[in-house]
Amino acid sequence: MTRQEFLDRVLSPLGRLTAEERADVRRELEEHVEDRMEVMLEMGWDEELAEGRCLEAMGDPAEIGREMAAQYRGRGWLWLGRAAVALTVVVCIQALLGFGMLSNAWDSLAARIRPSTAISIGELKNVEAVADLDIRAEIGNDILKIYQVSVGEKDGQRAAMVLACMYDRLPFGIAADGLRAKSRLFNQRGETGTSGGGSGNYGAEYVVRWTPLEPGDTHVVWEYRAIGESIRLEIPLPGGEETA
Amino acid sequence: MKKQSIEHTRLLALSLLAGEDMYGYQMIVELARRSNHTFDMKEGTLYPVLHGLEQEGFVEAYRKQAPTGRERKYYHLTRKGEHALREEEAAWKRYSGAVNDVLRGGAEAV
Repeated sequence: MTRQEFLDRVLSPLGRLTAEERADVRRELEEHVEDRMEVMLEMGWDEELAEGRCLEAMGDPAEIGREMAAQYRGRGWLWLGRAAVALTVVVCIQALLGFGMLSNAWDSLAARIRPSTAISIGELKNVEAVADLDIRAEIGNDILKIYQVSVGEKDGQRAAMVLACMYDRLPFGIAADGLRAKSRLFNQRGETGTSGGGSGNYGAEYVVRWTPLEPGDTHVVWEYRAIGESIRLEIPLPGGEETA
Repeated sequence: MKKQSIEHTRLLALSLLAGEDMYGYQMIVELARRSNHTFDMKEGTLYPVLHGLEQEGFVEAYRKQAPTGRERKYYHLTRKGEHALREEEAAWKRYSGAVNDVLRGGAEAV
């Protein structure tokens, strides 16, 4: 058996190791043989005999390889453990997304920080003025937040459009539904628009309402009416009297 | 018995490294010298033991130029390794003490 054959046999069961680690094992054993041979050559040994004697002293290459592989076996479990943790995290996120729980929480957070204005797109034409608002009212465990009012034209008529949302007081709580059914927007003469839209899930509910305006109007009123509970919020129109 | 010899090799390797950092061939030479050539181990079997100790964090390896002028892989005993050495040493002393007690008892009985 030559030195290379010996090393190849040691390395053969080390498939689990990285290429770098295998090279390291080979180099280390080669260096050992080199050191030992140097001493023997100095003592006057024939090179070929010295190598044979050195390899014999090293022991059975298959056994060295097996023992070496055993030292790295625990690490296979370590990697498997890490992979299992990563997989669990991915599966949990997938499941939460599947149940809509994560997106609910996200909507709930977004509603209190930066509510979506996408629901108003295409509703009003010839927009004269837009104002961001932060008018809040507590309704049970929920918060009703009025966050934008704009003045423009709806179905050929001057109108005010108001955006509101409702979310639970707790960031990951579930918003009560019914904001759409219970909300109406009135002008100063008690008139209300015939329709509106909304969207939402368990995290936050959004609603848009509009009401016709006449010159001189300074505010509109948001009414939230549920059994045993009625809230009226006065919303100033942007531009104030100038819109008259 | 083979398992036993690997356990012993662990203890001997840790003990050798307690004095100074060494590379594998140096450890074999030093072991033969200190034991007066009593341990006739197969030299290659030292390396799986060293790699095992490294995996456990008992030793750290680094490359350095040896007195021969060539670069070699040196092993250094870590603090964790020192702790393991003290424990294995105590266990070994208990074991060898017990063997001695039994042998003494046998000698007295004869």
